[in-house]
Amino acid sequence: MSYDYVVQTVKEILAKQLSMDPGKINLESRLVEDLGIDSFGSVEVAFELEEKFTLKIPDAALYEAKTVKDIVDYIAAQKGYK
Amino acid sequence: MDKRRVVITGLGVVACNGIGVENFWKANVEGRSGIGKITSFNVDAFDTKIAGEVRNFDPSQYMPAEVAKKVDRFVHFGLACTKMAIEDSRLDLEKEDRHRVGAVIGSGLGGMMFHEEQLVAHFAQPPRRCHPSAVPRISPNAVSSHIAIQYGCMGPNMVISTACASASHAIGEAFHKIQWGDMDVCVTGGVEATITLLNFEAYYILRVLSKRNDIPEAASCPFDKERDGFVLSEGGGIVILEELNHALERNATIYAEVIGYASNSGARHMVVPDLSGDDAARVMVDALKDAGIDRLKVDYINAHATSTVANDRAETKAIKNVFGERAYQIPISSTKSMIGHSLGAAGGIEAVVCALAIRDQFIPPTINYKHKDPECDLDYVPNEGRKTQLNTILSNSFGFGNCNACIVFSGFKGL
Repeated sequence: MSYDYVVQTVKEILAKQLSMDPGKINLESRLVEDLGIDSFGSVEVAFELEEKFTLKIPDAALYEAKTVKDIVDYIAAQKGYK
Repeated sequence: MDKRRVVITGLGVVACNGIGVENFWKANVEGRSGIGKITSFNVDAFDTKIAGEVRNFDPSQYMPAEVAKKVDRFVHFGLACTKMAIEDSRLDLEKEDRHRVGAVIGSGLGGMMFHEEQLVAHFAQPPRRCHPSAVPRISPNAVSSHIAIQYGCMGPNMVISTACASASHAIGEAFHKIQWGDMDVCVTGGVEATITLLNFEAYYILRVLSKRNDIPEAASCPFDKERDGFVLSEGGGIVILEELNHALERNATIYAEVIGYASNSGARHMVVPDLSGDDAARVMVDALKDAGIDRLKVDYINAHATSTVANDRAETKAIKNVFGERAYQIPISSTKSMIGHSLGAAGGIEAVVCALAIRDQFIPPTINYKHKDPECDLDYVPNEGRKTQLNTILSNSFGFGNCNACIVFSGFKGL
């Protein structure tokens, strides 16, 4: 499992949630301002990420993530991916 | 202020014998049933093996794919029927004051389908968690809310749940709200999609479902001596109700006018109807009083007529109670003979039938009528539809829990 795998998977999950092309999602994309995720959408995304990566994302971590990279880095750190 | 007049200007329907108004009406005129063997789950454990499943329904035809993915089947039916009805009405929503356009929809059970899927997930090995979309998917008011979101209806918005009378209550309450000026246009009717293992078992264990599995299309036989229960079905029926002048000003096509509505309770039992028929009689009388017309004017009754021994007998008694000897001259027919009992959708689908009956001056039949029951001896328009002069129709819906509704429709005769 690599950092790149986490990037790819996070982009796919976001793309599915937002019904958009994963190619249009960048690491720097801001979740709210660029991707338009609302509070309900972020709960759904967190659910899918928890299922996929077998981890827990506490509320605080959810609120703190502002960009796609924040999510990727959180998961990678939790799972020890490099 | 004087009560305003309310007319029907658009129709939408999804039923097991036809998706879309013209397909559905053609099936009704020709007396075609949509009942079949259940395909969506295993029925080995049950002696009832039939239902009115809506086949070949593609939600993506009626709503964006992202919406179709996120809502339960009952909302699929609601959005599909609403799209059909709004297009049929030729309403230009861009020109409407959205605060005066409402959505009042009936649904007995809401998102039971997703509810069951979540229960299955919870008890699976290993257990799966509840999905975050459970609350918005299961809540019965998802249907009126999604209609509002899709079409920008910002007027009165609610779902009414009274079991088998849900849709009729929704239409009736919407009718009164327009009469009294709360809104000018309303998407109303009912939807239900609960042919699921657990829900099916729930009705089965009540011993209210027909076991006449050999010829599924013949199982639902309201008023017939050999009737043995209803056939569970699903679907949606939506009408656009509009204040009369609002409709005339935009040259809307008017199917019929809604002229009366009443609701009441038999106050006896959660399941068994009041066998005297007194409550059903009273709701019909009250609806006629609300309409301000004499009972002599009724040309046709679209009965609740579920094909249970109890209902059909009590309803017949009630009709005789209201109309006396004249009951024998009033044609009565049962939409449920062809599509089974769609619970919260029934009154909406039956309203569509009443509107089309008036448009075409045609009464669809009660099919599968073979054996006369001495306790049900009225004219049920057996097996073949009838072309006849139709102006005033009663539509009955009696819900589990003795929750009753009656709506009076009439032809629109002009100002």
